[in-house]
Amino acid sequence: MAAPMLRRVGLGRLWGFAWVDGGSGHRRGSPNGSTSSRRREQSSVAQQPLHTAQKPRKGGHKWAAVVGLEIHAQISSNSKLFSGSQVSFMAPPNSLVSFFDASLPGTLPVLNRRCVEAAVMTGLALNCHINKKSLFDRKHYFYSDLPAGYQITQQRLPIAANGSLTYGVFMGNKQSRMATKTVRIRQIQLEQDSGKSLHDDLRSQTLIDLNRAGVGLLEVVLEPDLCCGEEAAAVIKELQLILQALGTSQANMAEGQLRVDANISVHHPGEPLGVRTEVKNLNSIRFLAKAIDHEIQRQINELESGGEILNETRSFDCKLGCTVPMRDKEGKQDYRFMPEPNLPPLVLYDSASLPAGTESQQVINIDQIRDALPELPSATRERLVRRYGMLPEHSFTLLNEVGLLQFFQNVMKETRAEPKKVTSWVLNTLLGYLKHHNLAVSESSEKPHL
Amino acid sequence: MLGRTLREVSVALKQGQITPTELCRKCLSLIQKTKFLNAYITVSEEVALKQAEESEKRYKQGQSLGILDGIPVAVKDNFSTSGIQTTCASNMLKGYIPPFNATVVQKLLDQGALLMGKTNLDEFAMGSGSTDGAFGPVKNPWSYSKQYQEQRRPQSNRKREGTDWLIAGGSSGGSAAAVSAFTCFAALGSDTGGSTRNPAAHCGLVGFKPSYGLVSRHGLIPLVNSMDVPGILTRCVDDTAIVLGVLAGHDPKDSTTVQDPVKPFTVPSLSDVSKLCIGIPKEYLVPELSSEVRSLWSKAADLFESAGAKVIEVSLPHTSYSIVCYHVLCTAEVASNMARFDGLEYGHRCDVNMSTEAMYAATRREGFNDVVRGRILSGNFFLLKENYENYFIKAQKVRRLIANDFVNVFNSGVDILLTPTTLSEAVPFLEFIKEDNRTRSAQDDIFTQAVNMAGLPAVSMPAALSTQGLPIGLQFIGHAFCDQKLLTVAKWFEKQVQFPVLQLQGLMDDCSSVFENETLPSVSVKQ
Repeated sequence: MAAPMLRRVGLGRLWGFAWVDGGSGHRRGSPNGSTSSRRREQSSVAQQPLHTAQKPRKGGHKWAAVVGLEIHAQISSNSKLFSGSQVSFMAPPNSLVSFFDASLPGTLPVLNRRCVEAAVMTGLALNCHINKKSLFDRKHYFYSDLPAGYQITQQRLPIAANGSLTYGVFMGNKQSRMATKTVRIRQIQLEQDSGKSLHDDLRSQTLIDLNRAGVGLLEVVLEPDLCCGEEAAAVIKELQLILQALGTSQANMAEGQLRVDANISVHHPGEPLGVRTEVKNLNSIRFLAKAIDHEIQRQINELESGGEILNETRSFDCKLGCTVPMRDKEGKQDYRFMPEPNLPPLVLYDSASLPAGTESQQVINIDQIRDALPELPSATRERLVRRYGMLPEHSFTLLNEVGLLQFFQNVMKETRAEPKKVTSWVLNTLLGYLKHHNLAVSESSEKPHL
Repeated sequence: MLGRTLREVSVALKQGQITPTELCRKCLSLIQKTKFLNAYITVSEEVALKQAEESEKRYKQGQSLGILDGIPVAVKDNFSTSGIQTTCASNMLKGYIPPFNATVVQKLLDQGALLMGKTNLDEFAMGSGSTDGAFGPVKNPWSYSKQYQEQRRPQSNRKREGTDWLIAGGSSGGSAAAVSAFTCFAALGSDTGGSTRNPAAHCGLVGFKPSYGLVSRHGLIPLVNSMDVPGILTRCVDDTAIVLGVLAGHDPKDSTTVQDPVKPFTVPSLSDVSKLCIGIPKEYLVPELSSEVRSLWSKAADLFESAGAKVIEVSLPHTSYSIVCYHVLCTAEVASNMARFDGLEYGHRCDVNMSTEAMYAATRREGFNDVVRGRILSGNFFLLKENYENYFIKAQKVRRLIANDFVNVFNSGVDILLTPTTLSEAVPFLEFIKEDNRTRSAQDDIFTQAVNMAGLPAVSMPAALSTQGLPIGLQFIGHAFCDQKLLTVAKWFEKQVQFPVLQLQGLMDDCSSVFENETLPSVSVKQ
């Protein structure tokens, strides 16, 4: 099997092949001679369910969209990735900043064990290969919310790679059937979060809050296997559930604990991939789906009217309901990656490779972590289907609504009614009521006791 | 008293012959009188006196903390000192007062040492002369020594009085001058390419570079993270061992320190060197080496041989690539380490307000000197995507080869390598500045910087005075983490050569009062 070509384009990110109809890698910029040669290349790994291509639009010519997601999840830990300052949401500005976070000269990074465990847990839950040795690098750029002038990340050798995430999408006209799909995970890496900048245009100044600077992030890079907003939404939802089940991230998008960037391009099936744009500033799953679908349509419209797509960064304006170009101050960035000299390689062990006589606090044992993994959402759903005979779709809904599963299980404990009846009541009557009144499960006055 | 060894003074303190406060005042007075050397950027008089007071209390109660209790020390101004300005001799950090102590500083203070002040250096430790700092150059005390004044070659074109002083070496020139001029008993330097050993050689001191990973770098404002180590400057090997014993050991704040436990040690007196194998690297015999240094190097080798040691020629084949390799890696790390200086959180900030970028650019232009800016530009060039493989990665590979050269030599039975430290004795400042910083660094680091690339321990020992009456040092290099063995051999050498004491008396009439009522102190090496 030929290995897919990994090309580093644009903002220092890795891109690989997209597995659509023999295409060969995202193109960046205007067509050139080399695309024709790529057209003839075979995509030799194609064993995955076909995407439904976009429905034919006005032009009648079929379009296919390619969506790749990059997710940043804030690690749920007491202290930051490389320093001992606390991690907390909504603290007074610059109250959780250690000397290292403020980049005082002479301070050095010290790796947080909990963050490494979180990364390993997440990697295992996403079926990744955990790299027993991974490395830290510096990614340089100047910005006021990056005190050191560089971010510590894992560019050369991340902690986990080559995994997969299985998710469910509602199919059919009535959206009543569920199909499972899989998206491949390219890699998971540990990196620092930046601080926050607030632009005060009135006084022409920028206010910097470094509370968030140095918080541990898991960057999860997905292969561009997705084709539309709905799939992206389903993937993110599933990832949220997994992270929450693991406890590695609270993954609350509204609080910035989960940030998603989408890379989107369109092309005609059979032809090379189109120029991609990056869409950022998506802070809810709903907006994520909207933004992606809008951007896909925008690109189609643009190309169909003879225009061209610029490789640019766009942001989603939720009021207008569309993507708009972001002021691209960076231009073509060279991040001048360099190994982080103050952090030796991160070495993880499993039971087989653990040297004799090592103290357990000094090392991380992948096998131990694997054994202690909590039940993942997919397992929970399977269990519900098996035990209560409900449809897979129902199990998805139960998990997707915060608190609903707990409620359901509490009811099942108390009642002697048939599971199917309870399921139906919870999902239709109760949920319908909650939706109608815009309430969360925790806010409803209904108690599980009958 | 000020010319005594650390151990001798410690005994004197314990026996009440002198109090910490008296000792402190003497040193402060001498610092004032030797102000023209420009060795200190900041003299922490109040702090030192307060520390002396506390030390005195402890001695009175018979509860001294150890040998270093009450001993005046100085610290190079690139180590963070809590509450005391730390400038790195740069406009960028003028007025910067760190809120924490570097680990090595804390360790000294925990032992009761008195912090006399922060010493001068080349800006951000970049240089080999201590001439390129924002607070002016450091003058080598030996410029004013009886030995030099009597033996120097007469000037062909008579320069203005007072302008023909000599450089102290760099970049830890301030620390070297401070110790050399008896204003303190030990000083911390830093060593990235020879910055502790070079000034030690020029000022007639013991300049020690520990194994990388032995001593914590937390709080040392970095030049090259993968090569920097804190260095120790003293007037005798015993004193170095005392300080090293306090400083060495794992620091959880520095992930590059080794975790093996370290015990403080006294350096044994070696009487028999017949089991020792000394290696002389042939590639270090370069044409630029002054004949005096070459002859002294040869004499030293003979000294070991006639005492029964095995002295053999060895080869470090990749030596000729080390300067270039060092410059690629050094500038790359510098470019990265200096990225944090943007005026936002601390340090100098310019008045430009138009935009963040403009503010950064102006701040950095105003804050850094040409040497620093030059290295940042070079380093960024080497780190560009299109250059990374050919320069940075290539240099890393060459670095591995250079380190392996040492490994191979040490594996073949060699215990210690003996090399020159510098190409010649200290040169006059006016002579030194004829070439630019980069050229000088490339020349002067030639014997010292391969050691940093390999992370090995090394020490420059004062060997003899030149015909002009100036110190010449020789370097010993040891196996990684065999610092104690290295110091043992160095101590034997020290005993053999009996290097003379700097004689400042008579040339600084004011200073005579400091030395009055005392016989001229000699550096005693008895236990």
